[in-house]
Amino acid sequence: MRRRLGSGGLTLHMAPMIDIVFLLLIYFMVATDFSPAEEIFRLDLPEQQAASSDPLALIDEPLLIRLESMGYGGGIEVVGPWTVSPTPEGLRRFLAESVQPRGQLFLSDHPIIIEPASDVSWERVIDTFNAVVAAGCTNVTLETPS
Amino acid sequence: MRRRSIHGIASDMTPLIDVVFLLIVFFVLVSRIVDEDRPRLDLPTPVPAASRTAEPGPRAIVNIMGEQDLLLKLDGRQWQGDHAVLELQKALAVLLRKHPDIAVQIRAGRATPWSQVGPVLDAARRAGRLAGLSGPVHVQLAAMRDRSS
Repeated sequence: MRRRLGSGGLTLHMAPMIDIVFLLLIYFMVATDFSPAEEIFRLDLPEQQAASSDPLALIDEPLLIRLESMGYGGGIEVVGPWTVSPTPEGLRRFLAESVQPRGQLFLSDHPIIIEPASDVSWERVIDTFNAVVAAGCTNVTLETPS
Repeated sequence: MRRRSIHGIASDMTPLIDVVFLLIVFFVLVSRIVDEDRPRLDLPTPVPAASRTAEPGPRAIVNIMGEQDLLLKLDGRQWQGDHAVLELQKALAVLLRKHPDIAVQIRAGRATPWSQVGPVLDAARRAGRLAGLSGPVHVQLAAMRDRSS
């Protein structure tokens, strides 16, 4: 297809233009990242040690967070002498105010163990994990049934 | 480029090459989009998310499919039923022995109960022990970032 433009003999070739447009289109399609916005939470699973013989291990007693089953209201219980609102947001606020540098209760690498009941959904586990990580805690693990 | 046979039938090569290239590009694109390691799962979407982008590196992706019946997928293999977790543990142990620094990525739908995810995490821990790892097993918990946040 050839189109004559004006009287100066300039011609516009449509076919190569469409070729180039298609090539650009394909380039941008390939360059686009099709993978959905998947992200991760990092978690290290150390080998479980039964009743450590190290007397110093007691000092770093982990903070235990229990996720109760729906039958018990489906709340979050922080084991210890603390009153925590039983929601992920309440947990995040409690930890953010307790963990250094804002709080004085725990270091940011204080071990935290999340222990879900067996019928707790993965979404609630991740919400809780997210709250703990968002509060600045770096040493979080999940208590696996063994 | 045009070739004329004795009988005068013309065969134009240009559109043929165009179409062949388009087909190649189509299949390249489709193979990129269909990622077999990441089947469609309704991953949890915490808001506001504290998750981070997975750093590049070797990883084994374990998919926990089926909210009622446990179905585990790893590297194109899949296991179902009572021995699924044990088989996965063996496969992970072999992987971890070969690549001790590999990360195990766990993908599970948001409604999956902990009674299905927990044993898989425990299998990863045991696999690390079977493989003789000196350090912990690196695990990545997959979540979806809410694009609107």
